[in-house]
Amino acid sequence: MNELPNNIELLINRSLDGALSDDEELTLNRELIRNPDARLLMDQLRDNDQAAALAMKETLGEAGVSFDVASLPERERAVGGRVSAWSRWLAPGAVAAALLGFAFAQLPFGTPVLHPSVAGNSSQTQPIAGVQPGVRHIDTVRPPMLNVGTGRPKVNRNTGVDVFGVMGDDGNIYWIEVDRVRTVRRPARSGPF
Amino acid sequence: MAMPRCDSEDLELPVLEAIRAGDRYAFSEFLARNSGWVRGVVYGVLGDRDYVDDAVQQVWTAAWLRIGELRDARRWRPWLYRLARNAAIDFGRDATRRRKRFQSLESGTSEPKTSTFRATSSTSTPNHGEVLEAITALPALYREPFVLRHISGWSYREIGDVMGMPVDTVETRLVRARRLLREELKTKAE
Repeated sequence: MNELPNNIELLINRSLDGALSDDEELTLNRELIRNPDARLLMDQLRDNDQAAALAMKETLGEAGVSFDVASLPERERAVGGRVSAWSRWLAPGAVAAALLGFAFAQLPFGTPVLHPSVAGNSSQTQPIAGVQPGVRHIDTVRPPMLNVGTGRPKVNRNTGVDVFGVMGDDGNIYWIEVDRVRTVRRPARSGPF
Repeated sequence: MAMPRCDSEDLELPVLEAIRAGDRYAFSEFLARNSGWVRGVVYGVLGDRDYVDDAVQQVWTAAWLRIGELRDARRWRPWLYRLARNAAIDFGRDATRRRKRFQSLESGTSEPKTSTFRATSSTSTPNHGEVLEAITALPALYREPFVLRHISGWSYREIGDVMGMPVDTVETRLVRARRLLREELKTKAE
């Protein structure tokens, strides 16, 4: 059998599936009359279809109908509509998040901690009014000891009094108070670091 | 064989509502009407008659338990198709794993299973066996619409609606399935 054009094969398939339009049916009938290969293909495909349908129906049967619905497990009854899986964890999650937030709020993040080097050289430092070790710092003054040892002096901006410590060549720490300094410029002669 | 209805007057809609409410009788009726094509889907995916019954049991159990997940009741057929297809894929995977384990235990003494139909088709004529072998040999891509077309007699549009593909794709796959089946049967005849 010679190879048929794809459109004829397509029309034969449509014919077997009952999907031919009137025009297509006319075209196919003309082709079937004049082309024996088209007739042969049509017959073969029809036979294969019938054999396939028969074989599958016979083999598969209708065993599914005998399915015992009484043996089906009980369904969980949804209350108030469908509830997605994650939403059942919403309330416990919210409580856990609230507790976690509360626990973090109690941590002493704002409390200044005395640097050991500062504590050891307190005689060399100038007293800073209003700042007590171990007390949450008042107003806008930051604990100056936090700047010690960072490698470079740091200016606290937007404060009434900026206070920072610098380590001198002799190893002591010197407190420098600057009123209303709002720049980050490094103070002159602030040390070798 | 029940023909699917894709129009707005889907007679299964009230039945589905009853099933949602826990009506087992409605479910058995629904099952009886749709058993054929669901079995066809499972067979189309597995390509193996031996596992169809067990896999279909899983499909219907899942359908009963998960009917609440069907949001748009009018789309029940694609939903059931996906259930059947996924169950068949899972079942096929498990079956392959079990078969490999069994074969490794047998350490190759048993003959590998080349066809499930020769052994089970005692009531079928040889011609049926050959046809089924040829269908099994089809790629699943083509076998699924082919089985739905021949078991359920669905149109291209109905197959496309269930499988979630355009009508043209369904038609192309059916043409190729028929072409491959014809070549396979011709080879067997020679």
